[in-house]
Amino acid sequence: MASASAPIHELGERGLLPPGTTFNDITEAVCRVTEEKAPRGWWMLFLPSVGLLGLMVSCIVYLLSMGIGVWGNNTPAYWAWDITNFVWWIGIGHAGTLISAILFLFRQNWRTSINRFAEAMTVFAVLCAAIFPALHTGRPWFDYYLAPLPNQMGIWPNFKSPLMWDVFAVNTYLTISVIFWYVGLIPDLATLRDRSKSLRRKRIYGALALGWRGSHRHWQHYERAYLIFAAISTPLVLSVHSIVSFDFATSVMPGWHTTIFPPYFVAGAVFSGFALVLTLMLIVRSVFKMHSLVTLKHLDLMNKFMLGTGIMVGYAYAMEFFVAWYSGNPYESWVFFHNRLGFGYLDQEGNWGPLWWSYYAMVSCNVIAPQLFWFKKVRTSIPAMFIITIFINIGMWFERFVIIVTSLYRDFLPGSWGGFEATWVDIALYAGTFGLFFTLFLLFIRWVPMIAIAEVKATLPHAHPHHSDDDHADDHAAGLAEPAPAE
Amino acid sequence: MANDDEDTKTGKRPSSKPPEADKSPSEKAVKAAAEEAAAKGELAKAKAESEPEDKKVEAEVAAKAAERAKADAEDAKEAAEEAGDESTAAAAEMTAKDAEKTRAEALETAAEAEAELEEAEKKAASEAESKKVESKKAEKSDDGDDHHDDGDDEEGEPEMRPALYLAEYESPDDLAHAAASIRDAGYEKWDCHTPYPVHGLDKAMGLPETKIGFISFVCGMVGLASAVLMIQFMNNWDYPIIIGGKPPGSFPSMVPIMFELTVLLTGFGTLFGLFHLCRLPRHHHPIFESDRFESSTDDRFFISIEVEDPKFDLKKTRALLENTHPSHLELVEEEIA
Repeated sequence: MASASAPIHELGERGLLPPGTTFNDITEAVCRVTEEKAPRGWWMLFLPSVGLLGLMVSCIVYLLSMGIGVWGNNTPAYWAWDITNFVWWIGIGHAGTLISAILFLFRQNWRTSINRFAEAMTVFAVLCAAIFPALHTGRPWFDYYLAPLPNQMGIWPNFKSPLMWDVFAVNTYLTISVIFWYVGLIPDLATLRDRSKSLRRKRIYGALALGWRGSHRHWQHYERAYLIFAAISTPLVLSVHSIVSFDFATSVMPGWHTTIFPPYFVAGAVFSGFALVLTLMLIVRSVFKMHSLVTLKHLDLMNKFMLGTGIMVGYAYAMEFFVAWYSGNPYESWVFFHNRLGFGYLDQEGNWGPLWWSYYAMVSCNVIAPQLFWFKKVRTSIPAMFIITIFINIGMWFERFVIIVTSLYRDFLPGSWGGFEATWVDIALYAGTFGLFFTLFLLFIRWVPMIAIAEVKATLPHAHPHHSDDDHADDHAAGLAEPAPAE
Repeated sequence: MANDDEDTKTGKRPSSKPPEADKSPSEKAVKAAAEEAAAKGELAKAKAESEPEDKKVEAEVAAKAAERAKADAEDAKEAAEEAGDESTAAAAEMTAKDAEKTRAEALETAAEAEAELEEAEKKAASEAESKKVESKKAEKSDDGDDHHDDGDDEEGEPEMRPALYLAEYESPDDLAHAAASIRDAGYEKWDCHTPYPVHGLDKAMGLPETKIGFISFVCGMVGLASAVLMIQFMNNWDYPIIIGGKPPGSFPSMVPIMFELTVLLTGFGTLFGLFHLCRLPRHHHPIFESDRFESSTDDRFFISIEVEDPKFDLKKTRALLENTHPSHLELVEEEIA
């Protein structure tokens, strides 16, 4: 297996990490982050994050005391920033599972430098996402109605509702992501335990490492368990955003009622998730000097992923327009050509759809900006990719805003049309979830090995027996292949 | 002095006189031998902290080397005296004395080591004895015989007993070879400890397939069944609701939650199955008594053979492990609780 994934020198391929990297180099590079004092850059990010977290908490308190009328949601636009933020955050999380599970199944070894990081991001992003629908129920203290528990009214949840499917999908996703992440962490926590100088560190990491002793009998179960987690997470991650898209697709709203939604949402989720992983990776890489473990090659590969998924998303946008026109459904056409494109149909007063600009923001960020990744120069230029990933993050937020608000605010009857304007609580709460996300994330990179130490070690060229000396490979294989009978 | 200098200089030239020709090589030999002896002596001292057996052997080797160095030096001295070179002769004599001293030291170390070895053997024997007593005690108490045998050692030191052999290897290649030879020797309670999963060790250790997939599958099916039962009970039997004109127990709308619960329970099954198969979390293991074992999560590869193994034998197991050329081998002991 190791030899199958070895670089093919004839094709100009090289190892992921610089030649001569030893096991100890990797341990040192990753562990020292948790052992040394935090660099100034960490504090510069952490303090504003905690500030934003405080903003989030105060917004939630304000919202609970005043009711959700403090949001900009109104009668035609029942869903607005809250659900936009929910879908956006859930989508961000998908890159983590994709990297840890799908790329694992495809034996993409380069994932080992970024998977831990991306998995942590998944967990935190799903936590941020869960805040919005929980608040959007209006009376969050009754959210336990969502659970299949007998309540005082003697009724059960309606399992035919896609919103109920969503509850199960998101909770399962969060639980499995946490388990997958933790199982991956166990050997690395043991590494931290064994390097601990102080008794307190030794006790805490020791308890978290569960007494792991790198036993191969354990590794054998562990590797299979990891494979099973990857195998169940792969359909899970595809199902989660598909089910999120069912929230829209099973309704009869023009602009929502389309069969392209599940794959379109999944591709978009991966696209936005990769963008945020890369944005954060670039920051962390420079703050903690991880250049030797996260190389330009990793970044280049991630940019290619974004180019690919960006094209898929662009295709979905085009296809929606085609279907709106080809179906001949006047409401569908109205949503696409008036509410989104703006000038395709004009309203009675001869105006463009008032939220047309959000559609243009989406297309330019999501379809046009990533096209720059066709050029290797852009794919390997750190400032360029940093700016493009931020554009993609913005664009993907606009995608959800476009889907939700521009479908709702001018639908069937002109008499029920309305508009939408965000309030300061919308904006502050969204900004506040960044506080939650970054606070958790910065604590994570400070105290937990942010790169999967054991997995990166296994990708080194000398990591597995009879790989370096091919001359003797046959003797070794013969010696190892069959257990000789015991005496 | 000037004369001497000239002599040595001419001696080094190829056109020098025949009797003096072999003087400088012998001088070199003397120095080399003396240095070797000194180094060996140092080594023996350094080894003094490790196993007494090693120490003894090392010290003996050092003593022999010193003896040889002394002989060489004496030869050189004689040769130099014959050649009439007084200063070289004096130097050779000095070297010979030094060598003699090193030899004496080395011999002393060897004697010490032997004494330690004897002590260790005695201790092991007494431990084995006390173990026997204990097991007898256990048997007796099993029989219901209340026989109190008060501990005969009143020293505050905790009593130790061997728990496992721990052999350290530098590379996964060495580890795989060692593992194959231990597998072939028929051991059962032994293990490899690596910082990351090393491919090919399953075969090298002769491990059977893991059963975790079976546990996960069963749990997943339980998840699937519980989803169906839950939805049918809640929406079809206990409180039937008709939504969207579809019958209360219609199948298609159940699919997403059936899938999610299957995944959820497979995940839990895999997690707890893994814990069960690995017997984790585990509070303590005697292997952590070894300080060297800390590098097993960094860059070293270990093999441990536990005392509980039916084939375990302090000497034979040690010999077997030594044959696999570990970079370090130790007997890890644990306190008797």
